[in-house]
Amino acid sequence: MIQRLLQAVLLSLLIVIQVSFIDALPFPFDRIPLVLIVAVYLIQSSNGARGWLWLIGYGVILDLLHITMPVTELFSYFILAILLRVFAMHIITNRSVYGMGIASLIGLSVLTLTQTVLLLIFQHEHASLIPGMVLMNVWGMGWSIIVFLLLFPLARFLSQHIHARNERSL
Amino acid sequence: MKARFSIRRYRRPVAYAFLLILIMLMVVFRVGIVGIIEPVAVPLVQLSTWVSDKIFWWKESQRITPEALEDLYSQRTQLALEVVEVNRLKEENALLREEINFQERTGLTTISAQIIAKSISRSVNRFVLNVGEQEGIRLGSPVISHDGIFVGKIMELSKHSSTVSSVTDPSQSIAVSLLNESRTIGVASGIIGDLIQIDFIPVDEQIEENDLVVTSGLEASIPSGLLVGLVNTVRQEADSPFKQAIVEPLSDSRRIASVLVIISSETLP
Repeated sequence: MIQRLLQAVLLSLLIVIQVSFIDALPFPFDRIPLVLIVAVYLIQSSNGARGWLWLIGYGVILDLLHITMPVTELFSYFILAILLRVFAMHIITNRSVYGMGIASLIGLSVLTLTQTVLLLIFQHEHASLIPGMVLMNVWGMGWSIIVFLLLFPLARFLSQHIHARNERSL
Repeated sequence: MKARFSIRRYRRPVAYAFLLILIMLMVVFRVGIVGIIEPVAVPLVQLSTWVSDKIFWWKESQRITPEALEDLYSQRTQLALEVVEVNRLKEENALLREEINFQERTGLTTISAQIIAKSISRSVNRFVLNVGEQEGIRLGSPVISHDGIFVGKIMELSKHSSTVSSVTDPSQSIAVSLLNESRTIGVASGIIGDLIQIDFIPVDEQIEENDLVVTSGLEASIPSGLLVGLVNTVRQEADSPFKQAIVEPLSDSRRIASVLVIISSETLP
């Protein structure tokens, strides 16, 4: 219970960092998809069991803030979460940095596709924004690869360290 | 044999259904999210604004070539001349106000608001404020920087928060007027690249680079004369009866952490 509560607090903090700090940085640094990267890491490392709810939570908060494409974020992140979970369970079962990188690339592509379709359905008068949106997500893909390459060894080291410590305490 | 009803079997679906209903209610009523994140979000936006200003100054400086610098000097001179013109217009305006007796122009009040989240990209340029309906904000209320430059207008509203669509947001349109000889009016909308575009300007209108663009006052809640930007380029396609003006906005949503919202004194709580 405490662990779940801690996860919820951590997720909220991560989302606030994303929408209040990273998104306000100058281009292209505002394209770092921090929440997505952490969620992909969690989904992949837990075999699809954890992390997917983070993405749905992120979609909910984006919708609550009404900041990007209101009422469509939850839908696009819901599809993304389910898809990444299925991928982690059945397709990208290799838990390496490459697997996670590919999962994040697929994730961002799916997100771009969903958002494009939703934009065309609900706000077709703004269809001219699609190339810009795609370009933004391409930057996001580049960042996710860089962040994975830099942080994956650190995350793996920390996770092993925590496991070893838990086993010793048992 | 008839299977026994067990509440445990339905615990998970019921929990998910409850969660879904809760999420839907939160989405509809936008409950308290801003109040929860505000203590962390406001310092983060200020930090990010500081980072944009102090750390990434080189991004701006790289863009300035000697020719651009020369342009800036000439713009400054032009602006100084404009100030003289504006002062003359102010006096004229004061006289006209007395004549026309526009009550709403005298009743304007501003309230200060903190930015708690930003979404600034090529396709979206919006930010969330920590003030809402309860503080007297209304849909369409104009948002200005502390030095009085038009930043955007309120596009989403809840009890204690509101979303501002910045002047460069592609989904945003505002009624503007150019401070040229004929006081050309038009509708400006955001375009990709943090610029604004004014379409359908008749070819016989005289528009020059560096003409000042201000709000026209034709929108119900937006007063006239709020500074929006400077004309950067004037374009005209062959055989077209209209021309286009590309306007460089004077406000930069990346560089602001707090704003003023113009409200009518009647809507004050």
